[in-house]
Amino acid sequence: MGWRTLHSDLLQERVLYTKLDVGLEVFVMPRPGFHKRYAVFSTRYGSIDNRFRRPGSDAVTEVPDGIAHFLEHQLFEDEEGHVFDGFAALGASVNAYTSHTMTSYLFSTTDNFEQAFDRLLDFVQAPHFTPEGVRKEIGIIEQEIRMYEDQPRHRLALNLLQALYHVHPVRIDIAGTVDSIRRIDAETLYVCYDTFYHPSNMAVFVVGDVDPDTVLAQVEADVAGRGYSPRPAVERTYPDEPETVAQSRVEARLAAARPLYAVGFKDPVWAMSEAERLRAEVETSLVLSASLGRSSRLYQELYDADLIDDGFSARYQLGTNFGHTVIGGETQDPDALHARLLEGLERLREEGLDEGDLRRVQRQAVGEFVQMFNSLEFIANGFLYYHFLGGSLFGYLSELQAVTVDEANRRLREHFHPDRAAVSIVRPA
Amino acid sequence: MQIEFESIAIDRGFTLHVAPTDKFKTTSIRLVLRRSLRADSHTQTAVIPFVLRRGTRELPTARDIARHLENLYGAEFAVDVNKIGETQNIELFLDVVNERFLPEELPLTEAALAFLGQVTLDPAIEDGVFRRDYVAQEAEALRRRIESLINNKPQYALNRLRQEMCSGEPFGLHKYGDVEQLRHVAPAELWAHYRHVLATSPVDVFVVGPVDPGQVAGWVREHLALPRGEVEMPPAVAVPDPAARTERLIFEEQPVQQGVLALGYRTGTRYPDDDYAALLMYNGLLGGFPHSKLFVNVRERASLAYFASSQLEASKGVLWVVAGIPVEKYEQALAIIREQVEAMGSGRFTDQELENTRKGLINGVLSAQDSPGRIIGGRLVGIVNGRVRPVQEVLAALRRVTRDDVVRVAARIRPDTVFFLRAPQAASGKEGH
Repeated sequence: MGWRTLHSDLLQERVLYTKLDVGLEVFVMPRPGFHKRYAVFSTRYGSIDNRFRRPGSDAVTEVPDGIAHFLEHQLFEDEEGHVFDGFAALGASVNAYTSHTMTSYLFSTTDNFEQAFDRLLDFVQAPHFTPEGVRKEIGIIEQEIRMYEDQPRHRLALNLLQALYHVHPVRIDIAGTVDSIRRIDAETLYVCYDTFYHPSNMAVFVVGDVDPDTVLAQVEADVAGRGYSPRPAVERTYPDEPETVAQSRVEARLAAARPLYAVGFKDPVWAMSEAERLRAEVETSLVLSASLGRSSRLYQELYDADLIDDGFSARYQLGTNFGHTVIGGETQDPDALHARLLEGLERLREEGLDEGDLRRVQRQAVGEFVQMFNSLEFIANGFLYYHFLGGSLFGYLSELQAVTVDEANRRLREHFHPDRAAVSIVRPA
Repeated sequence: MQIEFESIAIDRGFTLHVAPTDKFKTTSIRLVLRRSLRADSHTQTAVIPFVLRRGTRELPTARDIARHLENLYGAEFAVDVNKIGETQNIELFLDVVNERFLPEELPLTEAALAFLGQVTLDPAIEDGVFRRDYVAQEAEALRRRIESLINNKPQYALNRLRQEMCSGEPFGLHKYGDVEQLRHVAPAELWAHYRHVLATSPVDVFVVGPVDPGQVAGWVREHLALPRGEVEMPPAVAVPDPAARTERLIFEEQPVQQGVLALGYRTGTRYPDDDYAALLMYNGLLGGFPHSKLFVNVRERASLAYFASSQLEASKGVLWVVAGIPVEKYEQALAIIREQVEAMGSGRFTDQELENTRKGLINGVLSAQDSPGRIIGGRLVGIVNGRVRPVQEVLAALRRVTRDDVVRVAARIRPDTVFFLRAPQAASGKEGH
């Protein structure tokens, strides 16, 4: 099987891609001159995948909230003890993270790349779940959850998702709850592992000063020894999510210095095709820069009125079957900010953005995108993120440059609809 | 492939450091004004870069600046104040895209330096001083930033520890100033202070990118002709007599779900010392990595924490340990942490731990060479400490460190202050297991 080459003329970079017979996808981006070599091994499995049909079964399996994240922690257990030690002996730095839609295991190293890469491939494909390991992890993850509970920003964001969504599992905290993780056992971990950690559901990305053919040979040899057979895709089941928001406003009190405010706009992307969703993301990101970026009239007005500060942000978040914009930050007066912000967005929807605004933020976005390619971590994780959404990180740039002012304005009008908005506020306790 | 700086004297106390390289997609520029950290000026010094960022004569509002930067292909402009040891440094950052990756021809690097010249030499003023509204807004923003530390409990605990442990030392001052003084920053005084800072601070400009040092020096002389007076070199740090200190315990209560335990140690070894590499090894063995004693014993063995680590501030000679734990497990966690520190002192670490730590540190030093920001940051720390350590020197020193070196460094480490952020007694343990 040969490589397919993806090019970016602007970046003067290429990524090699191939798919093995068992379905595992492999990407390599050579970056000579870098000391660091970075590899990530990801599965399309995140916190929202809590109801599914196992291949060959009609019954829906339902698992405790937070189990994808719990499993990520537990894969670091092996028969000899802890996976960290094996990487440490090679001078490599290993880590992992779980999002709503994916789980990724990664390492970076300036030496012993091939051995470290072997270890990565091995520990992700060799689970070792035991009752003792699970018990120990409950204590650790409980402290991780407690840490988040003490973060006003985390509460703000979680409350917003719970206001935006009625039933979609994106409203559940990625780590689960102190109660839900206590219901996790080794057997259920194996069920989730067998379902979602098949190579056909996974991808590897390697970036740095490496030889692509050597990387591929290593992956092929590793996978060949594990006796996989091809398998149909996992069937995930999600409840039907209404287009309306679950709750238009939610408030909480927490030990915080000042109030925190966030408004979300729900985007019913589950009704869109893959291409439409990716397009929606690009358009929304540009619209947000033009409407609420530092160069916008609205940002300046809100800043001068002492309603926002440096930490104010506006971002679109896209998942496989959810999408929403989140705008907010710390503020002296969340109610005044909410009123002025919605009024400003309403004004923009009527007046529209002009061509000059859009061209400027497009230029900025191109520059920012190029700058991100200094980071090997961004490259690898960004590539897999877009790939799992059905797109390409390189393609993002051309999509971005192609957006017209009419498209941006149509997006502005349809997305920032007051009926699709929910507000989350956290006030000092 | 090593990235080497060439230093070029621009003026009195003004040095340009250029590292020509084609490795990155960007040209990174940093302008640094170095001050000594002092209670009588740190608040005013802190406000300066944030006011400078608000506007210039030509680009009088933040919005004008933002538009200008967008037209420079999303040039990233940021400002901050950075405490290194007992210096307080004003830093202006500007990253522009390497011209090679632009869809059109634009001299971005020169434009970036010209912009920094405008920001520093020609800021927006009224009645001959900084604009009143900008000063008021930015001083208030800093005051809030300090107060908002409480939103991040580990950071808050570390900050409180630093404050308590080093009260009376310049290091105990917050880099963003004093919350009370921030209420009374006057534009005329701030302007006078800025003129003084501009004329008397050692200035360093760093440029990392696909550039020619001679050409950059020409641009800097043309666009950044800063006024120069009698240069004030920031003095060395204060190191209190360890024998005169006894360990202090400080408890603070807040409605938290998780306790944060933060311990401060005096290292007795600092960045410029020959034992610096051994100190790095000490910190790495104790709590710098997931294979370190703190992670293994507090988290993996006792299942008490999600995070448990140590970090160095080698320019000052202090080390912090921080862990998020159940409030009711304070005694147990403290005992385990102290046991790890004692183990280090008596050389109870394996050769495997030693070698893993050495490899991890070497990996970190080399990885930093893949980031323009960390390349510049490393150089700056060396300059502030009066000892620039080239990468090869640090690597060689790390390779030489022996077990005895680590034990010798450990013998100088003294516990100083323990800070514990916990829930009020009545509420603690209500959901404990």
